[in-house]
Amino acid sequence: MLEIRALEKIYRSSIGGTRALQNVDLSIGPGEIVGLFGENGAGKSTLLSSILGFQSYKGSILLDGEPISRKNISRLSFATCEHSFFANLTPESHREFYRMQFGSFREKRFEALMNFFELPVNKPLKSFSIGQKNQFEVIMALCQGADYILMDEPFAGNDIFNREDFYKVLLGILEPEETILLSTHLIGEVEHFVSRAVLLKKGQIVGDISTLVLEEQNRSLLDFVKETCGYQPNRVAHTLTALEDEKRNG
Amino acid sequence: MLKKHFSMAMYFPPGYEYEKEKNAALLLLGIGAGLSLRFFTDLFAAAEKLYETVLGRRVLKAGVQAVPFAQLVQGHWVFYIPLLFLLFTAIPWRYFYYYHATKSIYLMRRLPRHSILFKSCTQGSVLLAGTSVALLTILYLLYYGFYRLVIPAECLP
Repeated sequence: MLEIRALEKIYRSSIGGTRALQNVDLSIGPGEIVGLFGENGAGKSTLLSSILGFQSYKGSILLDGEPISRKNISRLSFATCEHSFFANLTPESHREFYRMQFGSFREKRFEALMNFFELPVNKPLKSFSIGQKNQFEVIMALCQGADYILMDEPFAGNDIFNREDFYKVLLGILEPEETILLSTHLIGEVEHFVSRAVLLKKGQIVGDISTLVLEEQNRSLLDFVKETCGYQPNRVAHTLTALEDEKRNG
Repeated sequence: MLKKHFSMAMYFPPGYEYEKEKNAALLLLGIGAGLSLRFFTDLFAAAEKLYETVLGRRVLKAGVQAVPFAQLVQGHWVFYIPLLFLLFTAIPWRYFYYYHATKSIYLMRRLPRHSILFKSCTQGSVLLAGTSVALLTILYLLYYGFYRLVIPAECLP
């Protein structure tokens, strides 16, 4: 169980501080596939990097009751749209590096996914297309052997067919105890992939619902996000009308 | 590739193009060693001072002592300062490599063995510095051999 309690993160600067996360409480159990949604700047990436220990924070983040440290860090893996692989190395060299560093590296899964996405094993990653790089990034996060797989916009730059394939493959290969925390803007696409949606707004959790409940309520994930975030559908029409009036009067 | 055989790559960040750094270090080492050849001019000049000509014969001066070896090679080390500078400035350079092209720093900071990140940035410098010290030791032992050959035993300090 990943437990986040009273998490607060303030980015300090010379002109003051920006509160990126405030009073975040979240528990994620084994086997959950959690979608993390919110506008740009809502705090999604900050939340993920806090869990991974990339930055300091106030509050507590526990993994099965233990603070995240060198002892249990390998139980977390991470895929990011910024990419965390070594661009000069080949997938084969990455496989060896991961094998050396992470005891529970999933060899068979690595081979299966590399074959499925037809990625060359002996070409440096810098020669891959953006889509292929994203695929490789996610493959390594899935093959590290972690229980909790964190993903930050991992499919930015992949085409729709590619993404669809990934969701299907993910659902097919994940083992019951593997947990995913996926930050994305592709709300409509992941609706049938995630089991729970967590919504962040201005650094706070403003919504947390299971997709089963949404189904029962006959609401789509996108509607839930729009309602919870206070999306104003008339905003565009209002602006256009105002501009029309100005044109007519001017 | 990473651990099976000895490879210099093991001492640098994964995928780091260490060849340029290695070549620059060897070049600086070579320049330092090349400039140290002036040792021979100093050595022969020091040896010459031990002799005088008496009745047309070249003989050792009575009770004369040669310039100590350490004094002869003194000042040579200054030529290795650029090498030291290179080896030290390369450490932050290697760290910034993890932010270049991708954010592989995210992977390095997630490794269960945290020391891997530190080692990957520093080991290369230690290896190159160690190699340089070993080569220089051999070179100066060789010079010392020449010193002992050229300077008569009774004039050794």
